[in-house]
Amino acid sequence: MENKTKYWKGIEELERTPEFVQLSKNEFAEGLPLDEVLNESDLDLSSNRRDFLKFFGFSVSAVALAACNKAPVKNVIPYVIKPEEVTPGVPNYYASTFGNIPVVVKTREGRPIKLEGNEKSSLTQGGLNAAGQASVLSLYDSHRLPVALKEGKTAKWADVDKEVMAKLESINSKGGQIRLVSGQINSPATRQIIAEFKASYPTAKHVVYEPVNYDGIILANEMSFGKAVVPTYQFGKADVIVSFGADFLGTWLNTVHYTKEYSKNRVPGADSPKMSRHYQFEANMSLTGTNADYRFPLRPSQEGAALMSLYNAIAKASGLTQLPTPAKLEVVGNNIEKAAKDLLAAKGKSLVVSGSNDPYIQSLVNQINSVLGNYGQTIDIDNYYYAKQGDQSWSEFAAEASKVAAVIFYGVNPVYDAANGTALAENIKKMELSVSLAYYSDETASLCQYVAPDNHWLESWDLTEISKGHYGFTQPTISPVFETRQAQATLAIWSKNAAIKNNEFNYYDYIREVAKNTVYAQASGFASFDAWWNQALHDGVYELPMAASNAPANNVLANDLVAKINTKADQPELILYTKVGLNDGKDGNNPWLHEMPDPVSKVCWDNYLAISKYDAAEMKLEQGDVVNVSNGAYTIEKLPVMIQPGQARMTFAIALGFGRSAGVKEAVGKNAFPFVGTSNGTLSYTTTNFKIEKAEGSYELAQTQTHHSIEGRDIVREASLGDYKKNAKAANEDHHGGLRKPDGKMYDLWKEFDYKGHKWGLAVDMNACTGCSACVISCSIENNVPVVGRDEVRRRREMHWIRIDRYYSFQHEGTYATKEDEYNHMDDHQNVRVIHQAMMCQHCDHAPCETVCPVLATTHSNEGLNQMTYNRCIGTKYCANNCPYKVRRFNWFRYNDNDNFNYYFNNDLGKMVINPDVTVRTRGVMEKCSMCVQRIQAGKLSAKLEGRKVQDGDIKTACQQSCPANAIVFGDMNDPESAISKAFAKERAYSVLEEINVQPSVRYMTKIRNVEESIVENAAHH
Amino acid sequence: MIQMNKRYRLEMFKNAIRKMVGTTLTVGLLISNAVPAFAQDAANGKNLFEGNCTSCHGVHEKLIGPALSGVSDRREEAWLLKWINNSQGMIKAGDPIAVKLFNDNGKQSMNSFNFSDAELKDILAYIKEETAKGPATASAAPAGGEVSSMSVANNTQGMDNDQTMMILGVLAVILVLSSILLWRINGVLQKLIWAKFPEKKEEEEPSWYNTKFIPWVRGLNPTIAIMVIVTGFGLAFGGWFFKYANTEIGVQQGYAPTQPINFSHELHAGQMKIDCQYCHSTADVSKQASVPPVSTCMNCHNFFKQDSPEIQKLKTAYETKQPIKWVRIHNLPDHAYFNHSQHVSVGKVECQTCHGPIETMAKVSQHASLQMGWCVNCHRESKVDVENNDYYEQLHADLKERGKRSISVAHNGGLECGKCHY
Repeated sequence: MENKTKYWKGIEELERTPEFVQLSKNEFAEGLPLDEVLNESDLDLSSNRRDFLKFFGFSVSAVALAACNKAPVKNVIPYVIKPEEVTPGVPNYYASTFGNIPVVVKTREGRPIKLEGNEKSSLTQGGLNAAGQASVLSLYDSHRLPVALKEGKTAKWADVDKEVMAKLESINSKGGQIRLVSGQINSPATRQIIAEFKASYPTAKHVVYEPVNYDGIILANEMSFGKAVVPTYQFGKADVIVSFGADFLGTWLNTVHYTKEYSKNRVPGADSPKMSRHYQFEANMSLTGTNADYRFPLRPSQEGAALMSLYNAIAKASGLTQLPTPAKLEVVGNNIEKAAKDLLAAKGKSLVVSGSNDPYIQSLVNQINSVLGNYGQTIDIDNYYYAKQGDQSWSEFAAEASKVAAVIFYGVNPVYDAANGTALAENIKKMELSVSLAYYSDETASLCQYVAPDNHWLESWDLTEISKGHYGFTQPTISPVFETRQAQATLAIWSKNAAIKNNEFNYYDYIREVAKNTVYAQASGFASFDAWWNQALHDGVYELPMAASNAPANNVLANDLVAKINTKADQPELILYTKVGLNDGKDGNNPWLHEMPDPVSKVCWDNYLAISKYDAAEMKLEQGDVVNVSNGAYTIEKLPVMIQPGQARMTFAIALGFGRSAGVKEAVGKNAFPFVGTSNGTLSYTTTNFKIEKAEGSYELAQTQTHHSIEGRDIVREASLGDYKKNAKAANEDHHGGLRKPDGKMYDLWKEFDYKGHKWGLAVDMNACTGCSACVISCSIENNVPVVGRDEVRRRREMHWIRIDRYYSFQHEGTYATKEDEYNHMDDHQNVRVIHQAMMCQHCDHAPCETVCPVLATTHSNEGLNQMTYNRCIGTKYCANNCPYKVRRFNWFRYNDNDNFNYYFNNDLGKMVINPDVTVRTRGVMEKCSMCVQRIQAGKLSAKLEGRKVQDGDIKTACQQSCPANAIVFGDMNDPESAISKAFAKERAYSVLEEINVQPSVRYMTKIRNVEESIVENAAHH
Repeated sequence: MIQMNKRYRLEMFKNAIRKMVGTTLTVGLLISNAVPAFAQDAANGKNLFEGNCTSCHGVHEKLIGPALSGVSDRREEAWLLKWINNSQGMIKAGDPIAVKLFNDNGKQSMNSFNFSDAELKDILAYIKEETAKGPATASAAPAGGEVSSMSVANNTQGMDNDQTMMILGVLAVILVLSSILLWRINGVLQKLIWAKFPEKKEEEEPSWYNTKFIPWVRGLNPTIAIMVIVTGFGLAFGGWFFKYANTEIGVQQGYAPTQPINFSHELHAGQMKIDCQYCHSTADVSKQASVPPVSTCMNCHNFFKQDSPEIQKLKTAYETKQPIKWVRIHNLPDHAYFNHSQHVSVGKVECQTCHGPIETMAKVSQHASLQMGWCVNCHRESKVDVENNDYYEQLHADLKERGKRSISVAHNGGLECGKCHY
């Protein structure tokens, strides 16, 4: 049963451009850089025998000289007094909270080196996203502010305190206005600190500012239900999900929670072949869109009309008055009706969400959910989520900034990310007092008179209310690396808090007190506050019992919204979106996040103008061209163009969070924040006020997309839920491929080996995997994978041990294209389907790489692991040539000691994040996924030390542990009860390229799409 | 790095010169001073003293009992012989010296021994010898010296072996050069003689050298001859270089650097019989055996040997909260993963198997080569304890089925690269 869908990874592959064909034939993107090395006149390549002898002589003496490096005297420096809980060589784990995600921090000898999700949280359930994974590196960022600054020069904390307080007092006594600008504050303790600050300086006001916020939802809920909150969405309980541009798996609100829940209801089993159906209507291809069963291109301006149609379709069936019908939307066809039918069939078990920040659109979404009876079921407005929100105070502040005498910025960088940042910058310079509590000397901080640098969150105490009654505790896992001070303590000192002793403020005591009064007061079942505190701090989370979830009455009449919702859709639109990982750019100096390929476009190290193929042809643009994008006041110059399949026509998208100019090592990408406008009282991330002009020159994006082409082989398998119900092995039956003996068995080059003890295996469920790339970062941290930078990625030398292959297939007039030339007849790439496939070393039992290694540097273990021994490797790269999966990575440079790769790996502070249990590889060796052998060995060892067998689930690989979708299962295949054995026994399990019979230890689960039509060709074939 | 190496090399050179001068001086002293003739066997005395007395007595410092330096001058030998074997009896008998001693030393009674007179005399001879030598530590860093100065001292340590080889090599070269010089002078003189007395040349017997060797050399193919010579030198140099490079890249068997504090494993592990894991407390649970924190030392040294200059260093470190920079002796390369707990707790390997007779080492030296061959060899020879650890339940059952009683680490995958290299 063959899959009739044709997959491709990028435009180049589809078009079979000569460059692509040429490149796909070459294993390595470039030849050896011999010309560069030998480009001096006397070293030309036509060297004769004498030259050879000269080189030979030189190399011999060079070796002799190099060998003269005496092994240096090494020291052992033990503690003077060893902390009781530290055992050198054994990691400690502490619970803490990153933003809104409870995490567990792994520390070695007192230094945090890895973050994992906290399984005790009922929201995130042990998942952690890419940004969270990467944030441990910002602790060791050499661009951090190490000391307090006054006018850009190092200052003593005592002086800064004295001077700032004196100025605040004098401004306050004159009646001058003081503003404290911060992001959303979810900590009751910080809220109290700010209240006390305001009490000390009565002219002070608190301004809440978030550049990327969800005010639309909050305002809508206030209108609809009188509750200015973001509800908790239960994607796991929804059988039908309809999303209008909400990237809830990638960037929208609490993605880790949603991914955990969403993926639970996306994995059909043979016994219960059931999964949710997901419709996505959106303009630019989002991570969530790639996972949808049905994805339809829809321009943001059409969203109102589409929602009205949806409301009407539902209202009609429910006997409600319909709204004045908007013009029929061509692009969406009758798909809105189709979605409505599914929604109606799943009343109370469905969910409609929208990514719009327009309160009226959100209000209409609330209406639809109310009619569908989703409140109290899939939407919980009583246990709401603390989302990022700004409020009116920001626009007031922005308007009156010239009259403000003193400003304190805490955790915000409006000069960079506010639409009116330039005007604000001018005002800051004129203010009597400007202070920043920033972490970096960012765009705003560098304009301020004083900078009182904040601690990293791994150096801080805090208490965060993640959602109602759901508290996360942040505890320091390292003493401050630099002379920084937690912002809350700084504010308390400036407010002359009563608890200050010797100019020191103990925030820990303060938090305890706040926790006692706010959380402990509601807790029950604990003997004392200390007992509660110790337990809560140990667990990292404390959850009060959930409030009953109700279905509130909706106060808004749908008819009233019609006039307020824009249905005019005749102009091109520019969409400003955030990227998975980098988000709003606060962590803009994190090389891991920059090098993580975008889950959809696979571009790293830049943002770009995403454009549809149709529009590109219209505007005579090609990939690699650069354009100027201008709104009159602001111009982004030379922005690279990227043709994005799935992009709606007449829409263009630029990612926010790029183009930071201060407090970062280098500016990456271009800043698009000035395009953010306001509409209906909230920030609007779409605009029609822009002009695109082709600019001179060209730019090569660092894209990992076509690097590992598999040339149209049977790599990904896909079936519809209908196919699967008929035949659980749909798309996955014996393919009869490969060379076979007369008895039907496959030929094999190798003898079988009897694996007696463990036999490790990994299963990846392509139905659960969303492609969010948290595993990519997690793997890099765990395994000391270097960052190589934009240029090296362009040369296809990225080092990630795990990559997520993204395959497109596209639809044309209702059928999916199967042949390459069909592509050429299409002008429309709007309707594409996407499959994500995590690809790492497959640990083949009959590994082709092992056979060709001339020095036995890659061998097989008796536990089924394909081992890579760096100290044996001489770098022939034969193994990479012979690997059918293209998962081996060659170390071209000594990234940990080379100033051309000046990322964290090359400086002493950044090296602190290195995992001491994994070798830092040197130049000239091959490396690849080891299936986290260090974790396997550690797991086995602790079983041996305790005299017991290894339990299933004891050992988790880094990718598995961080996966917010539970898509990865690891374990012992020789244990029949293990999760991996059960996964491998599933009908959907297959190994990639099984026709070549290399017997991988990694298997994938066929992707099942909940679509009506059949995907496998000729279902009755067998 | 380069800076450090330069400095290191310089220090080495200085050290070598210092050693040469030192050697000369020692030799000179040995010649000028007649070796003190002790009738008794001080060496035997040393063994006895260290085996029986050191838990309470030092020669130069007061421990529980008084310092014994010059004891033979203070007391009659006969009295001493009697006292050592039966001090209690003498006190009871009311010997005035004995009673005074007892009272002066906190009324701590001394153990009774059963030494022969000869043995006792040996011990006294040893004490006499030690008395003559004076306190050994007097030349070390001054009491209460700063911790920072200790760490500086570390860099001057190299491998003694190397320096000896270097000196010998230089001497050999000088020898060869002077031989060539002498031979040349001889030849020139000969020629002068022949020039002056041509008849002498006629008288000369045609030597083997002139009739056979020289024509043979002339007849050789110059290319081959040069290649043979070069190869010969190459082999000789290569052999030496291989050994040299081995030490340079970290094969440091026998490496025994001087530590910032003269800690003696012989005293603590050997005589005091302190369990290894009292100090190296994480060897059974962690990758690292770990060098103990200063606080562990102070557990005992808060009470013992407070006035020793070495303990003063320890105290200073403790009080100033300055960690001690011990010199690391066992250096595995970064690409080799070694876990103590696997070997100590699971494999039940004795410390001594790898670290040698550590309880006899006053100054620790690297016992094993720590080369991969050494690791692998042990993995080949060692058996997995399948019987007493439930982790190996399955393996044990399999072995029984196949009628085998045990399995070596190697056969259980202990030779696979990925067990140590990842």
